[in-house]
Amino acid sequence: MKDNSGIREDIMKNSKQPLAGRVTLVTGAGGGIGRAISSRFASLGSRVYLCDVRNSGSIAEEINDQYKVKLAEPATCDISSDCQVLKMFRNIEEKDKGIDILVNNAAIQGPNGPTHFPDITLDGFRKTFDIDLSGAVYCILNALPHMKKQRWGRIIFTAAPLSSSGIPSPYLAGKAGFTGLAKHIAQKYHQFNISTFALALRHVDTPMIRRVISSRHMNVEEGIKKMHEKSLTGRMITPGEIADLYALFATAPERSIGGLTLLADGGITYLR
Amino acid sequence: MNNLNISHKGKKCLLFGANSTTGNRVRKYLESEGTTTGLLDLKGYETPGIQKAGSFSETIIPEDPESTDHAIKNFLQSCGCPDYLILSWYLDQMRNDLEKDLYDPQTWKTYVDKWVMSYFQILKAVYPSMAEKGSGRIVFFLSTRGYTGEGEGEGELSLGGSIYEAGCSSAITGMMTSIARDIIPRGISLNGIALGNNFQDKWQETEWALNLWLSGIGTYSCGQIYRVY
Repeated sequence: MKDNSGIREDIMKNSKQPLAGRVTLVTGAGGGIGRAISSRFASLGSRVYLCDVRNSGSIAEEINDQYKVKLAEPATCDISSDCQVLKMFRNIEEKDKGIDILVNNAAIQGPNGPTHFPDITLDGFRKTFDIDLSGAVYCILNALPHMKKQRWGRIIFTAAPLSSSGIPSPYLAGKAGFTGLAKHIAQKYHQFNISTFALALRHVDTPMIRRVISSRHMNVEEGIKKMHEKSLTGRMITPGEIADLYALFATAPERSIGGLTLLADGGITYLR
Repeated sequence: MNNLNISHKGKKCLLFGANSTTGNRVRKYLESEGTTTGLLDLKGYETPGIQKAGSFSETIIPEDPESTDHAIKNFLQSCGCPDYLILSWYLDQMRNDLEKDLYDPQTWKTYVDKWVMSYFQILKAVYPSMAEKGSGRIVFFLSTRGYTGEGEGEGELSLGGSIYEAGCSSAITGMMTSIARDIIPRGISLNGIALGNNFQDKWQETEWALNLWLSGIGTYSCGQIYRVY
């Protein structure tokens, strides 16, 4: 399966380091998509903080080794805790001015086991919601003052289409929240040159989706094959392609994009 | 009888947010049509006059999930399974209280508890009785200042409002869509009405939308949002 690296080449053609001097925070950086985003943004010259509940020091080292420059740094944080998020931002602000590009990518699928409403408890709903949406809100509220002050900021969301079926309610609540926040922030803060972009994804070939398939007692390879086949393109989008799209948005001419939610589901929603 | 030719006579409705502007109008309207209403309100939002108007009334404390379970249990014991469950949020009060996106995680937590978690928990508590009966119409009120769906007629998004309103309302859209798919096979419909900036002046349209979701169309339509703006 071919990765559409043409997008990346277009970006690189315009400038070798279009994000040099920018500071990016990627949440969920330890996962498949977060890792790809962090690596891509570092390749474009951005300093990147890898935020994850687990220590992502080894991923940061890999990225730094790959590009022969120390751009990536771990930022261990449970984003469902507003105190931890505040502390993370204070730590970052001691080294850098603040976050220029915020990538809200962290999410968990939901409480282990139940995916249907009657079986999801309030406690399970809240735990997922706090990571998937409250965590992003805490990061946004901490990032906005610096973005407003310097009159430049980019906020990116890894969202999902509402039409996704079989998705647990707290997960879809978080993802719909992303789309709403992307629109709201773009409209409210465009005068500060803060723009937003959300990518509504359905299936991505990541370790997380393999875990979900496995948790449903299905053969993982067969499940992955079926998911590839569901797409009209015959394959799922890859973390590398997602990272390319985010880079394309972050390097877009000023004010050319704002509040856009791009559906990247291989045509499942509208064409099937 | 209303313009959609739907009879609400003899129906039972459990209404959350009876003290909100919309909730109060919904109560008056349904009672005028012959519906028995039970009222639920958040502690601190209730007023004695309105509380007395319903055949049943309770207040719930969002930080104390047991208070919600207790209130719903009392309602089910005294009135039986409701035909309608309508959840109306205190949108005008929220809009008056919030103007700026100051960094305040506590405000976010408060609105998540009061709005999103209350909706989820009330629905959780009422659902088993509706599932057993095999029917029910559920309507969520939310805001157009957030995500209300994809494609055409996506709805109004104004420059006003706050991250708190946009975030909570959008989350309810997602939550509702997922839950609606899970419960429609049991004969229970769940749809939404998103209110815009001047919703206080658009009661007729709101009433029409309410009737739409309480009507038979609710059997076929699930997880949809009508936008009043």
